[in-house]
Amino acid sequence: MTTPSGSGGTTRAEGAINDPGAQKVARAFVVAMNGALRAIRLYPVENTAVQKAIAELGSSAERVREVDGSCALRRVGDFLFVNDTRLRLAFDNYAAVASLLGMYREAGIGGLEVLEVPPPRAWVVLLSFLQSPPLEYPAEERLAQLVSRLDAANVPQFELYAASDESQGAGEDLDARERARQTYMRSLDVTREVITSARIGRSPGLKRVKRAVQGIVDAILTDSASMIGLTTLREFDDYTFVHSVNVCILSVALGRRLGLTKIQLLDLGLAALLHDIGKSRVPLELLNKRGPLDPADRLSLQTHTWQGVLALFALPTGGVRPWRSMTAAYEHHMRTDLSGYPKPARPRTLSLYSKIIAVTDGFDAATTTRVYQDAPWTPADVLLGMRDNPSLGLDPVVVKAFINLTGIYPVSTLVVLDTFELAIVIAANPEATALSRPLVRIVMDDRGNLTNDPTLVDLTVRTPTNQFARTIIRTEDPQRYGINIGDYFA
Amino acid sequence: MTVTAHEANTSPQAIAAIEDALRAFAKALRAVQLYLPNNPTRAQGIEQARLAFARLWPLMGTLELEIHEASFTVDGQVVYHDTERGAESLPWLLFRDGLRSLSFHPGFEGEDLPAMLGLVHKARVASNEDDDLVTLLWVADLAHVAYRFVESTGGGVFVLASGDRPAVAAPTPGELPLAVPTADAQPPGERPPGLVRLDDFESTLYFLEPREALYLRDELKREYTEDQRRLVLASLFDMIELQPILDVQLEALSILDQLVLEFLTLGEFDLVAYALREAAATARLPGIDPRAAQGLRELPARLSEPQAVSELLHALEEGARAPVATLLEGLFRELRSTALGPLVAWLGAASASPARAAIERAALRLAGANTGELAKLLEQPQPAVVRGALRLAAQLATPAAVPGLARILRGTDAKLRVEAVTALAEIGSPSALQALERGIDDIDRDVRVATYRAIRSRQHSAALPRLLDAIRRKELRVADLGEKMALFEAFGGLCGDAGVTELDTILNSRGLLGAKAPPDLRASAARALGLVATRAAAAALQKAADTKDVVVRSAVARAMRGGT
Repeated sequence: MTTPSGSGGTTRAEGAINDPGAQKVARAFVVAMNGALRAIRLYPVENTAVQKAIAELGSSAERVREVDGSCALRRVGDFLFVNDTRLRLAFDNYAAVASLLGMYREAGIGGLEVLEVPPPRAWVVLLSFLQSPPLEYPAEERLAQLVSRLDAANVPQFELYAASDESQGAGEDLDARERARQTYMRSLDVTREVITSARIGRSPGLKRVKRAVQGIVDAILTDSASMIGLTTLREFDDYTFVHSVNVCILSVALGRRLGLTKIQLLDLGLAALLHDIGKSRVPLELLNKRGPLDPADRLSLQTHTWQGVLALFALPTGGVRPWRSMTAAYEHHMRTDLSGYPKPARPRTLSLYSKIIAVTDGFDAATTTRVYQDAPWTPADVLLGMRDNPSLGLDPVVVKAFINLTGIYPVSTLVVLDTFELAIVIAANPEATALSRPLVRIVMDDRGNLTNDPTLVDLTVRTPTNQFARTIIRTEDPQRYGINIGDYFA
Repeated sequence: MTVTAHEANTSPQAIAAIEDALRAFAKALRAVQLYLPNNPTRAQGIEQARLAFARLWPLMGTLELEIHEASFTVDGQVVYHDTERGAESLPWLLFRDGLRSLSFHPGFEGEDLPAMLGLVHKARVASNEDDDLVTLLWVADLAHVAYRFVESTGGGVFVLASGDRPAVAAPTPGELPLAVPTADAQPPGERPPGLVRLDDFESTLYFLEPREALYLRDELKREYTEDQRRLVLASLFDMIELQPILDVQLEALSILDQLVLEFLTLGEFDLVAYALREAAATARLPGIDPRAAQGLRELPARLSEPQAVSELLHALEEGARAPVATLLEGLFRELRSTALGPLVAWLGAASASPARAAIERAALRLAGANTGELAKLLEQPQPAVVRGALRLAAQLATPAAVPGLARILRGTDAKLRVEAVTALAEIGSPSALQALERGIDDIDRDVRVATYRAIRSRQHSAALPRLLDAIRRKELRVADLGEKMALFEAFGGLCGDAGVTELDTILNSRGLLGAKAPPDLRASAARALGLVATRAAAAALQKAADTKDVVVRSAVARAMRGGT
């Protein structure tokens, strides 16, 4: 058994994790391996689905070898490395990653290396053995048993090796951004489960939802910028789920700015995560309908507010019902002057949490491409609109607080600097007075060339003559430049 | 030789101390499970655990436990073992809920230890839908405990680090946190330390005007003082009233049904009253579907059924605290008349229940709105029902109760007859007083006395002939002084001069052997003459002023003075 190479190569790993090309290839390999495992589990080996999956796996392994010179998939703590590239979790791979991690743990292995181009049969044998590990042996003996089985089956193309130190890459080494991503993915998973289950009439409990919100609260309290940055990831098909998670993150961040305690943040976060659960009762065709909505469609969609109350009553919740979440689901489109929807027949004053969620909900919705909104507003324009347009019915003090949270140029805004560079806002400036001088990443130089190694810049930095080195002169539409904002937060 | 921290943690002495501490913790947990907070055994168990943990810190900086299905380990050594699965096994309980390691820091034995015991006990008895131990630990936010747990997903397992106690402002006990805490800016990239001081919080809303900051603070206060359940109830009624689809209305109605029961169980009577009021008002609205309206009307009707009311009364009796009368009144006001039967039965039967006063007051409201029903209850055969109805009738003094009360006066229960007399007197209507006269001839002394007093207090002169008959009856001679006095006082208070001759005869007529009437009768007659207070009465009294009998002489003197 060989020691996995590059296990101490943190510099390379850090570079690789930020290299979109390496990530893409690694991701494809992991997804292909997971796909092949599933195919073998579900179908006979002769089945075309299996053969196709194996062929894809072989191809993706070869691509890894072409890029890196070798092909190894190893587990370090809770992460997968493809050679030296630590695989970044994303929407299209986190389930596959979790599955492979679990399989490696159960099999008692730390990784495998592809020594030479394996024939399809070799892949089938390997994956079959990995799926049926020798559980009758203690964990520390399973690797030896697997190696022995491979030898007996005459499959020399792979090398298996033991797990490295479990603590490496575990929580303590996990940087804030990766932790934030894990939290985000987990929350997305939970939200998808709750809303999907509610739609098909099953009743998932609130326990996992609460746990997810706790994770978000902890992440916001530790490093809000990383979590807020993740709200810029936009996945069209999963809009309802992503939107719910984003509103939760933004609301908790805002709540934290307002000085709410941990428990209050949990209450607010739970209400925010569930504010649109009523959409589980709105026909999917309507939610995904392209183009403008006719009045009947609009009315039907608007029912998601009170439908949310009914949906929350259907959730098994243990001893305490989520009253606050019900109120927020009902009120978040009402507007402060009650001119929104649903129209209440009985007098009421919107709760604070409803007002917070109204602001964050409106912000996230307006800045997202939707089925009926091909060109979302820029974050800065949305904030201006919220501040200057009282007919939106938002609480002006909450809006003011939200602008303070996001800065005048919120995270993910594409801005033009007076140096003619293009930059993306990465975080509000830690200097509280510098609302208009966020931290940015230069993505295009003054000649219009995309930069490969984006630099992080603090716009409060001054020149030797005490002038600001760079100043934002206007915002820009990223689509005009073919820039995918999400790539800079992935 | 210097002992490293690692060596200190795993030295035999340290291991022994850890084992002791964990055994003590398990024992304390058992005590928490078995005994109430004020039990000395429980307090002792917790104290032992505290001491055991306090003994750890000179040997180690932190206790780091790894949690397995049946054991706890420290640096690979088993320090606690329990092969049982199930709620009784401490390792399994923690492992089951996802915990994989616990770190205890010096100071844990202070407030955190009993808190931890409470959390573990709560997790032990929690249902599937209740918060598990990880959530409970998160909410509790113990200062000296950190933990790691696993979260299961569909595809695998994520290990998470938690319990790091990210910096967050904690409110001063009894106060809400500031909506706008004042704090200094944190240097970029630095995590604030674990804290409890608002001032250490990250810089925020410095540019808000003071009134805006106050506004946010007030809004936050309102968020947590306003009853969210009432808001949700209002939402449900809004749905019934405004949503045109019947299925939606019926779904909301079904939820309301369930909520009313839940609130009743919790003793939240104001919420139940609110729901019943809104149900009644909404049912009357013109646009409501008839089926929904019917369902709304049935809500108070169902609650008013005898079985439901009995359940409510049982819950009130068994409740830890006496119910608040005003809240109960609000609830009872919404009930139907069918609720009155079980209520009066309870009032008639209940002894000294802490809930009695509140229930009686609330029942009075209901009875006052349903006097016809109350009157019917007076005619029930069950004594408890009649007794309870009598009490309410007496307090309400409603004329509708007269026939029932008159019937009771003809009954066999002397105590009830006394109460009926009192109730009739309270009512005081002509028919009530007329019915009351029957008591003059009652076989029970207490009934007669109550009747005489009632007639006197109500100045019911129509009863005079019957009073006179009673005076002339031979049976009066064997009556006690109290009864004689009550009769003669009633007679004297009503007869005027017309009665003087009769009274004079009793007081002053003499036979061969002296006065004809016995002294107590003569004294009673003197008392009555004193109440008549006319010249003729005075003259009759004067004639007996020098009588030899001391009792009579004293009564005469008192009557002449005008004393009672």
